[in-house]
Amino acid sequence: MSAVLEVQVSAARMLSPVVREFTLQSCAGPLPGFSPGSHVQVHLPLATGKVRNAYSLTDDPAHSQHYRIAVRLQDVSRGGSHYLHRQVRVGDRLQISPPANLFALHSIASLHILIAGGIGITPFMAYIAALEQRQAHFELHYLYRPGLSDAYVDELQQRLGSRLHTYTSRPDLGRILRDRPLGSHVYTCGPPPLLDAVRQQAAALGWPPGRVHWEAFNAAQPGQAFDVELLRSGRHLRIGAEQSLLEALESAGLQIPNLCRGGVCGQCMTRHRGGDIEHRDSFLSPAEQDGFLMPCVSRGRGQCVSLDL
Amino acid sequence: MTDRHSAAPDRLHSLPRYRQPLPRDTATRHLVVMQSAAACAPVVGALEQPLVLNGENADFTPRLQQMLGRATVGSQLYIMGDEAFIWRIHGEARSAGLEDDEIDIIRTLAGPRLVYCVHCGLTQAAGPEPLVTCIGCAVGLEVREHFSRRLGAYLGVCSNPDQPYAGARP
Repeated sequence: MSAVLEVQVSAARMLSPVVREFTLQSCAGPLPGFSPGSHVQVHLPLATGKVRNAYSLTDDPAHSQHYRIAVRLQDVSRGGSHYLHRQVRVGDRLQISPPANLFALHSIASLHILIAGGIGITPFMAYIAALEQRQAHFELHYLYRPGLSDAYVDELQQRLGSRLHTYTSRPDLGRILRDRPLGSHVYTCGPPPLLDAVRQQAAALGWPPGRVHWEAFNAAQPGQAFDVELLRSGRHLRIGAEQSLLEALESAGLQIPNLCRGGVCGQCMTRHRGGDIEHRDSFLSPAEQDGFLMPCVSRGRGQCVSLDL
Repeated sequence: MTDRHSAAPDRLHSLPRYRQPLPRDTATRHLVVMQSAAACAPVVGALEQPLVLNGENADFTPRLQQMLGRATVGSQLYIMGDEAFIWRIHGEARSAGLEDDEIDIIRTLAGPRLVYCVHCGLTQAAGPEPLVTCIGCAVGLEVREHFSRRLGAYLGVCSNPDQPYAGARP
């Protein structure tokens, strides 16, 4: 995952007052292909250090001479979305990591039920293109705030007709999920309360976890500054309050495998040898957390953390 | 990055596990398919309003298709019978859209095990013995503990590499 793609912003437009869409063109050679549900990490040189944020690719995966992402301006963040909204201009160059997919379509489903909340529409834009090409059965339930987080809604209305169901407040998930034929799978992306509600409602109606697919926008949240010791090299690092442990390790020249940078994929799992750790991931079991941590989201809080690096 | 620990397997991953299931509380509908009345397992008595099909009934096949076609997500299927019956129904249920964890398999009847000859592709009934002769190509087969859920059969592979064409006479 050390490969970096150089891209240029070839177009940018506001899809809503808080959502900005970027079209990214390759600076050298064709861009790698991707599957629906894929994301890229965008490398952002913020004043407080390098940050990488993951954004879903919204393009049709079958025809991608370029990549498209849509970024919601976040009120509480470490500055990544502010940078993309306020600093980046058409013609600017950006570095991104190649596409990876942690939210793939289930290939043998016969009915795909998509439930998007706000900017959670982004992976489904690529889904819809792929599902239309496969002539698959699907329906999109889209919850948004009118005039604020309603990206793509006009386009979707024209394109999907009766397959689009829009909501401006939490839909009745029981109605969406009840009495569905056996080949149904549900996919949801959006804010954590929506994902929790979908998963709870599905479980209450007897849906096994394998039929319920979700992608959260997990990103590293700030915390307090802390120290780590790298046992193999004997080095000591100070991690700033706004920096993630993974970012600090990368700045120090270490290459840690990673995909989601949000505590879900498991790639960056690192062995630790003690310290006061605040585990923020949704990957490791409590037993595993005794020996491992996920540096993309988890942090120390006080006593120095020793890492097997 | 360190791999998570995994215990060394004491049996091949593909070997089916048969056991008495517990009723899945979260299921909203229980479907029971038994090979015969004699195949019925005790769990049926604990299920709330199960829909039961018996393989001995004349219209079993169309009723099975109808049941699977009308079933909705939240259904749990319990298959009871011998190994060959279990995997035949399992395959139909999977084609109808049921997931693995929505299907319980309960082997209540002894029966032959099916062996798939990897040389001629014939699936045949065999006993529990580890060596058989393929009835299709006459190759001596070792029946491996490698089970195909799709075929519902164990793989039979030539037991003597120096005699790969036992039945062929040049």
